[in-house]
Amino acid sequence: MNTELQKEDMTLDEAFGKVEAVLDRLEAEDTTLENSFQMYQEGMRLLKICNDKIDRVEKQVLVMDEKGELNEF
Amino acid sequence: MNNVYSVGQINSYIKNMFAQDFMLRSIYVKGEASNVKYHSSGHIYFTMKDKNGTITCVMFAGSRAGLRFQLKEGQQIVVGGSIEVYERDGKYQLYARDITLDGMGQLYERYEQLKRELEEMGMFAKEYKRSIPKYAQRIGIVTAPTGAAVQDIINISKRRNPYVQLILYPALVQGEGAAESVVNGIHALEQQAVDVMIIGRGGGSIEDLWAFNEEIVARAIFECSVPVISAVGHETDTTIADYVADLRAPTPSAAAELAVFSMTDYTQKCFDDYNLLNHRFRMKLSLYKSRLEKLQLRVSYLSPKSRIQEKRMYAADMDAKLREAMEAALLKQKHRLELYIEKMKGLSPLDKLNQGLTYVTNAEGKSVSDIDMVEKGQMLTLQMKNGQISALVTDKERIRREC
Repeated sequence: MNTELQKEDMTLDEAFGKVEAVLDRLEAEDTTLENSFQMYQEGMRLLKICNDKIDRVEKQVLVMDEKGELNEF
Repeated sequence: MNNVYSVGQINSYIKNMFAQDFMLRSIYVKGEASNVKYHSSGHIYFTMKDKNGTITCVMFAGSRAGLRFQLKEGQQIVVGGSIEVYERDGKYQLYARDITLDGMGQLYERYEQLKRELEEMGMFAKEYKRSIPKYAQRIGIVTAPTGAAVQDIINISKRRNPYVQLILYPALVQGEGAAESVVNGIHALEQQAVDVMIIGRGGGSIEDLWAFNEEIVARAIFECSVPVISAVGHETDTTIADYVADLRAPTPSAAAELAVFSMTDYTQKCFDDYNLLNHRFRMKLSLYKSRLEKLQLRVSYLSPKSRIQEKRMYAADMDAKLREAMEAALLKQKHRLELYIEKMKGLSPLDKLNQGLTYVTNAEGKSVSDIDMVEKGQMLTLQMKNGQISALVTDKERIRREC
């Protein structure tokens, strides 16, 4: 599975939801050590996705014209 | 000339006729206001007219509570009151108790009716409300490009998160064609694949906000595939759009707060989750580690080596105890022996010999300690520290010794 593809597939909200699920499972008593290694890696990967999802470029407000084209406001 | 009446009589008669008429006592009349005069006494004098005629009206100061706006020339109004005769002038006029703007009444009625209809259709139902995405990155705005509303939204958005893309559809928000413009905006922004949409405008009168009470706007919001936050007017103005929207914000600023996630909170959340992930993973590791240590300890307790070691320890312990007990017993005997030795020393004749005393025995080897045991001419043996002497008794004398 391509991480780029997954990045596109998941919304930030979903990604955070998954991080929370990972955190819950890490805390669960019946999670084995092997699984918790996987969980940890998965959590780190998800957090990276969350971070990468924010395109840290300041955005200008765009305004639509009559033709439906976007221009700076 | 039998039936001749005075002017006063006839006016009084007519006044009475009017007064007896049930309809005239409480009536609503609509028309256009003109010749409006606010008198210093607090009374308002005006005329109502339509294309067929006019009627003089007065609203006394005591009824002013029935008028909630500034009465102006040319307004279409509905006046409720009674029609009575003013005897002095021989004129009838409308005594107003309440005055409402005609259009407003109509608008309000339409509003209520549409609200009822749409509600019955289930368009306000909770089941149809979509949740507002927590982390919207493209946010559409349908509002006027000028005015405070759009500026408020932009300011709040920039402060909370400068990385969010705002797309404004500059809509006409009041007057002719406003509803259509808002509908077009909703459709256009839907095409722009925004995550959430804010539609709204600043405060205004019911007429100003009217576009947001139109059915086509309500339907466009209801059918919009993107969650819609409404922000029309002030908190107290609730439009149909507010009822249909997925979320109602009291003001445009509040809508921006709801639509735009805070970058600070986001960064904090990432940081917290990262820490939590590390912490919980470490907890897990240390849990397993301590479990391992416990097991190791148990295994080592149970191993034969450890058992032998244990027995050895026990044996060594017993050995030490035995030794201790033995030594203690020996020591006790030794002390006793020493005590006897000391005692014996005290009793030993040799010691006395050492001190220069002599031990006397007779020929039979018996100790001679009394003068009566000795005869003249008898042989005695004197024992002293380094030898013995045989002595002959040549004389004896009894001496009384004090001791």
